[in-house]
Order: sequence, then C-alpha cells, then structure tokens
Amino acid sequence: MLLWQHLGQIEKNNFMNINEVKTYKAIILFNEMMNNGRKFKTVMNGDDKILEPLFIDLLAKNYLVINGDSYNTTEEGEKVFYNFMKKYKEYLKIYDIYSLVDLDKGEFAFEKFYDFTTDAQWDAYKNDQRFFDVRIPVAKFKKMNPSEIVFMSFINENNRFDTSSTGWQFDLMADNIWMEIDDICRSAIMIEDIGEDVLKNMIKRGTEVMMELMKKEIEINKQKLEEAKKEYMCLADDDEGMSQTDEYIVETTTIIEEYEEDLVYYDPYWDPWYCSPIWYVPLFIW
Amino acid sequence: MGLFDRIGRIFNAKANTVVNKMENPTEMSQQIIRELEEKFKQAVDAEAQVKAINLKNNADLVKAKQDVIEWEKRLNGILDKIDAGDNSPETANLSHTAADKYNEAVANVAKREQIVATSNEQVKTMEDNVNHIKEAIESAIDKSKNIEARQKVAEASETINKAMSSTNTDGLLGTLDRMEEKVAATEYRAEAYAGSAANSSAASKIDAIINNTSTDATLAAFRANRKK
Repeated sequence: MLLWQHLGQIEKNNFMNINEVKTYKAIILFNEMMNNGRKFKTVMNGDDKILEPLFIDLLAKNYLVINGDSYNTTEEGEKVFYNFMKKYKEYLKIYDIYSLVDLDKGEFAFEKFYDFTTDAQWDAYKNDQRFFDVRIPVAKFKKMNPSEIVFMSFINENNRFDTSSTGWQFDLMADNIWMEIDDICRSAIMIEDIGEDVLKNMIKRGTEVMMELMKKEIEINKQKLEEAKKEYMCLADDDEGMSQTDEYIVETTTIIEEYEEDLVYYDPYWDPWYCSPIWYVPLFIW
Repeated sequence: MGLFDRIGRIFNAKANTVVNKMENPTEMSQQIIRELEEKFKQAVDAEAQVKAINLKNNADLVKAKQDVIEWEKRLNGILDKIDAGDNSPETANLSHTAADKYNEAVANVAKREQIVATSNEQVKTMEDNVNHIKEAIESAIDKSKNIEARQKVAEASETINKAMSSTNTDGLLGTLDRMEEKVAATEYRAEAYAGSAANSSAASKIDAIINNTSTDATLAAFRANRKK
C-alpha cells in the first residue's frame, strides 16, 4: 500500500494525524543531528535522499536551513528539540513506571527495582504476566497525547528507531512503525476498563513510587559520594587517582543535586490530575 | 592529446623526472583520476548550490500551498458569516479581500510549481553530470588498477628478459662445448690407449706361440687368435 494511503488511514482514526507523524519523524532526525552529530547532506546523500520531503517541510517552517551542502538546525529547531528532551526526561521519570502495574494488587514492578542485583533478575521479575501497561490510560487521564507516550516508549525500549541500521531512513518514512503506534493507542487498556477512581488511586500510588525511587537514587549516590570522599583522602600522593576521584565526586554531587531539584520539580505531581504544561505545547507547528 | 597537454600532465604527475620516464602509465592514470576527482568535487559543489536553490523553491511551494489552505479557511469563515445573515459592508469587504488573497495564493502556487519544475530539471541535469563523472572515475580507477597490474607484470617480465639478455649465454655455451670437446678428446685418448693395450696383448700372445715348441699348441693358439 502506498504511503499516502496509509497516512490517510492514520488520519481517519482518532489518535494520530499526519502532522503528529511528521513531528515524530522530525524528532528522530533532530536527535540524529543534535545528539548524534550527524550531518545530512543535500547532495550525494545516498539513502538519506528518501528523507528529502521531510527536510523540505522543515525548511519551509524555518526549523532547518541549508549551509553549503548540509542541513543545519535553526534556533527555532533547537528549541523544539530541547522541549522534546524535557518531555522525554519527564516521561522516563514519571510515566515509565506505569508500564508495569499489577492491577489486582495495585503493585508497581518498579517498587522493587532496587531489590535485584542483576539485570537478568529484574527482567525475570518484570516479565511476570500480572503486570499491565497502563501508560495510555494514565496519559489520557492527564489529557496528554497517548501517541507521544508510545512514541517515547519506542525510543526508550528495544531501540525501535535504530539509526545505525541499514535502511532506517526507509523505515522512518514508511508508515509501518506509525501504524504500529496507532494500533497500540487504539488497542490499549482504556480509562473505562480500569475505572476512573481506581486510576486516580493508581496515579497517586505511582507518584509515591516515583518519589521513593528518586529518594532511593539520592541515597545511593550519597553513599557513593561518601565512599569517594574517603578514597580521595587516602590518595594523598597519587595525583592521577586524585584527579579521577575528584571528577567522580563532582559528577556524583551533580547527580544528587539534579535529583533533589527533581523532587521539588515533580512535587506538583502529588495531584493526580497534574501534568506539566510542557506536555500541552505542540513541538513543531506545521 | 597534444604534446604540451601530455607534458603538462606528466609534470603534474612527477615534476622532476625525465620525459621518457615520465610516461609511467600508473602515475599517468593516477594523475588522470586525481584530475577527474577534482572535476567531480567542483561538480558536486555546483550541484549543492543548485540543489540548495531547488530545496528553497520546494520549501516556498510548501509555504505557498499552506497559504492557499489558510486563505481558503478565512474565506469560508467570512462566507459562513454572510450565510448566517451578516450583510454588513465590512464583512462584504473582508470577503472580497479574502477572495482576492485566495486567488493570489492560488496563482502563487501555480507560479511556484512552475519554478519547482524548472528547478527539478536543473537538479536532474546536474545529478546526471555528477553521476557521469562519478562513473568515469570508477571506470578510470578500474582501468588504473588494470594498468598498474599489467605494468608490474610487464616490468617483471622485462627485468627477467633483460637479465637473460645481458648474460653472455653464447660464451657459456661455447665453454660447455669446449668442455664437451675436451671430454670427448679424453675419451678418444682413453679409447686409443685401450686399443694399444689390446694390440700389445695380442703381440705378446704371438710371441708366446712362436716361442712354444708344440706345433699343435702353436696352431691352436693361432686359430684362437684368428677367431677374435
């Protein structure tokens, strides 16, 4: 089936429209340009040529400019990507924990995140069938865009947008992945399936779990910091060792400060209906 | 290719070699590849400039189409108002303005489409030219590799043949012939010595027979000697 026919299908349902799809595609490109430092060329661009219609749309909206034979992001484009990264950070902090919820017991798999010593143990635990993904009903409850949450989960999990693989440009411009996101949005558990009161309580509990996880993270990093400081004291004559430990101390202190700031930043989330305004601001204006 | 062109190319390939030596096929072919690559770079730069204009034209077309959609929305909004009973001159004026703007936007799209079509053709021509040079480079690289391999084989054969020709094989063979003759002479002499030894033995036998008093014995000895 041709692309426009599929996009027509996407347009028909209630979850994703063409502009949302275009936004997500553009985010992947911007991530490639800004986080991975890739230069997309206007000529002699091989497989990147397939991305040209998207580049033209971004040029038309001044999110990109041409510099010599390459596309460069504009200040406006960088601002959009920065906003997306802010959203993505929130997604990882707040919404990811709703991906594994035991609806019968009201338990979150992430409650036990620090109980396991290896990734394999954690994977075995979280793969238990009793856990359900309730990110979409939570997003809908908070009046967020569910497709945005699924898109972010695709970025975070299993590297669904693997830009190091051959033909990724085709995958991005074709619509299979967008249809899949759309299908997930349509077939997900709905608010009605859970019940609004249950969902409200679950979000409250989810906020507690999130705060506990952040506090635990601060605690772990503080312990690491103390150990590093002790080590630093013992390295009186080892200049290189002192420099490395000093660096580690600075990094760990920064992490602790960030988490402490996060505790304040995410405080409004004790209100189950609260959602940061950044989620309501569209990324690209097409 | 004119002589001066050839000499110029050779000087580029290796400035301080004598003219004969300068016609090294490998160096020449590599220099040709370098020249083609330089042309390719220039063509790509030119294509990038044309492509940048083309992309801008395409982006302008996208904007122009968006303008049509927006003026269409505005015009429909005003017409909805009029249909709902707003007969004020301001609204009528606005409807005319919106209609004019809509027409302008549609005309702009048509103009932009024409520009994009021309621009697309220019880009296509540039792409074809760049691809042509690219193919020429690929072909030149293949040929150059072939020339290099053949030159190496030829040089190796030449070295061997030169080595063969510079060695005085006639002299060596003459020596061998002389050695052979010498051996043959020795052999002849040996045979000759062997023959004289045999004659000497026959004479002593005759002498013994002569000295033998027995007739029968003498005859037997003669007969035996005659049979040999």
